[in-house]
Amino acid sequence: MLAIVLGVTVLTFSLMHFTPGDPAEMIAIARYGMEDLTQEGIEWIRIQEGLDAPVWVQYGRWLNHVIHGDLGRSLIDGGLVSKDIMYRFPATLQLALASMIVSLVIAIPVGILSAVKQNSAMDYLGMTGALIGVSMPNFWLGLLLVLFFSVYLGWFPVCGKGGIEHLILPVVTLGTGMAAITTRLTRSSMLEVLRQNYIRTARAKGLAEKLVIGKHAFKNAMIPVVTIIGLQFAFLLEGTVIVETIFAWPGIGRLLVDSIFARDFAVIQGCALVIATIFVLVNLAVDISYAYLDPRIRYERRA
Amino acid sequence: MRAKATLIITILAMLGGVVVGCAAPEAGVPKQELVIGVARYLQDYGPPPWGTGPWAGVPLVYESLVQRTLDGEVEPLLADSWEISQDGRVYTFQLRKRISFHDGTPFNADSVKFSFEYCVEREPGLGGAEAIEVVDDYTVKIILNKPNPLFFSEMNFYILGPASVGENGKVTKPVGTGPFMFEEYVKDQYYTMVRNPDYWQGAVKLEKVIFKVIPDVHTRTIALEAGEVDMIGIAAGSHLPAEDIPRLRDNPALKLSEKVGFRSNVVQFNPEQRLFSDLRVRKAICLAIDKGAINKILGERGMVIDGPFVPGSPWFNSKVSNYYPYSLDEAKRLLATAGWKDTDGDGVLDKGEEPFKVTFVTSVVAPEWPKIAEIVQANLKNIGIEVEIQQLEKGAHFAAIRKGRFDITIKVFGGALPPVDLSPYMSQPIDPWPPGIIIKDADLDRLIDRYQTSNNREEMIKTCHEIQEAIMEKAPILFHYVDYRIPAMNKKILGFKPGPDWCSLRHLWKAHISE
Repeated sequence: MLAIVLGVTVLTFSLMHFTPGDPAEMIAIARYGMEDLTQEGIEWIRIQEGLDAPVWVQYGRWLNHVIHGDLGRSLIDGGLVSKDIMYRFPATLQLALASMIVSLVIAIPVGILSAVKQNSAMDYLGMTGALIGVSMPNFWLGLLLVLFFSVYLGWFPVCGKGGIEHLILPVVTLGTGMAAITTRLTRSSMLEVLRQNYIRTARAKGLAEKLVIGKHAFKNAMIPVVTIIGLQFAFLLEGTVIVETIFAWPGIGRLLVDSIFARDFAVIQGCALVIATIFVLVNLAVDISYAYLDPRIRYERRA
Repeated sequence: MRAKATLIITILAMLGGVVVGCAAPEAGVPKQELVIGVARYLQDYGPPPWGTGPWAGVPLVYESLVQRTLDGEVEPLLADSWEISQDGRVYTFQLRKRISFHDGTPFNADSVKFSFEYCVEREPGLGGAEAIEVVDDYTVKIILNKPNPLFFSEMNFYILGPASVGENGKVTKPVGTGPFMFEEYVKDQYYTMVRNPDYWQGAVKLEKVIFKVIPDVHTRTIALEAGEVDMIGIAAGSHLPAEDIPRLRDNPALKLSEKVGFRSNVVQFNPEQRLFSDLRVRKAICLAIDKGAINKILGERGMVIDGPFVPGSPWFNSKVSNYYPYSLDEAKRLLATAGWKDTDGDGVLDKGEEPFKVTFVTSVVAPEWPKIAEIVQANLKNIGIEVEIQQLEKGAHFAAIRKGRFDITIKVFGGALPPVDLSPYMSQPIDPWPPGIIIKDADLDRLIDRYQTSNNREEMIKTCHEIQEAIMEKAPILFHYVDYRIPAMNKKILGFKPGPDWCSLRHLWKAHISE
């Protein structure tokens, strides 16, 4: 696990240094703007921030920070990277959890109903909705929601982070998009399980339909769904740049993208480290949940 | 089942906790409070050593010795008056008395020296300034290494209070002499300023200014329409999108300010590209550009100009106006005399075996750049030149320009307020950033050198008229265009007139909010 995380940081670091463009120039622009920038100013930043050292020396310096328990300082505003990330992460977590819940509340019931009543009007309605949800780009849906609910109805604020009213529009934007995918997956997975012999057996022995669906079919159909939910959750935790940008939400995705454009290596590395760790942890959680859903899956070490 | 229900309830409760925990400090809106929507969060508390910096609040907190007006004239600010020595190398400033910083420290010659040194450490060039001398408490001398008529536009350093700078030599607490005092910064959400009760120019009417960070251009417009912010389009990098301007103009609750602060951009040839070495070819391309189409996509946000000066000031030479009128016939004729013909009938000109194919390298530093590239591509197709557009990331684009890896490119030229710095047109630009046009032409070098070192306004104007004609005739560029800044604001804001680019918010202290 440590190897994966370390590998990711080495890869990010070298990739960032191979990207074309002069990092000192990009940092100067991010700090002071493009008007009246001079070559001397750029050279000053190069020396101040140690960008004239070889790449491996720069990576070594960063690693040294990590070993000593901090992530260094931002090359743009000089603030502690760990503080930046700790400030953004709760915002991202809040958005991620809320969107996930919205997505599941929509997706699981609609998916199951569509499968159980396959080819009914309900099924078609659900699948059409899912198709629209999948095809609707986030940035467009987000702006439409803002126009309708904030400008015309004036119910919710346009953007920013604050109380629950600030959370609703971004969560709906993200949640419905994800729900569309999860609904389709739940439906197809349920359909497959419902055709299995043990479902027929369960019905044959006279179990109530509710139990057949809820206990036998649903739990077994959940394995692929949990995998995709885990992935979706990990992606949400990495930040959702577009939604964060539209709604001016101070999340980790925007931090990362802004830092990449500004070549703020310290922040990029810090984000890469955190994101890699999250990804590994979420995958671990998904693997563990398989064992709960399907007791045949065991992770014991064979002697 | 019960365990599951408990789990769900716990998750919901946690979420609720997070939501409640992060409740915003919802401002009960007092009257004299102004909210400005900006794209960027604060990068550095200090005044930028050069330019405006991305921090829009700079001119509210800090002030400079002098300020420039929209016509490029120089007005006193913290300096009462100044004298320029006969040889143009020594600037002596008389400072205003009885001004103090926000923390009560008096403003005097020592604070000017301190700020000068802070900036010079970061930008050693600083308009050619070499040294500073404190003559007495309220007199300072700045000595240049050579005369520089552009000194006032290049040496626009801000005066910061000594208490601003922390131990690490960085500004940790913004303290200036300006009309507003820095109050609070919540990273990536907003920063606020409160009125300076003892402002030296007079009573500040607004109590508080809040800069709200909204990175998306369209969300910023919507936030203005919804009344969540009072002003947008004022800070660097926070331009209004051209397509939103007509809609905002129609909105009865809003007003658009006059066009202010412009920056000039240039579309240029690569002087090293063999295909462009023939002057007839460059002229043909200039004639084939449909400037009307480019003006259309720029909308109210900008305008194509002939050369680096904006029409309407005495610095602009009216002889270069419409120097290359849109004429495909003339363009085709010139290309034919240069030996370019479409022999294989594929719509692309060729000479011998070689087809006329070039690349236009661009990025989205400004949203209109790729659109301009597409218009140039379509225009040149009309005369049989095939243009391939390469859209790169900002850093890669700048690197390509510096390494000469382009045939045609678009870039920031610099300020468009006269006197314009023309050194990018020299074969050896004084400052290599932004990378110059690098047209190696001895005549032009001589003219620009005369213009850049003269200390006589009449002579400068006369020389720059000659330079404009020379640039048009030698055609190292396709065209320039200016980039206007058009702030949009709520009609309840009265008494505010934006200043030019680097201090657009400087006059905000005179503004107030009406019922």
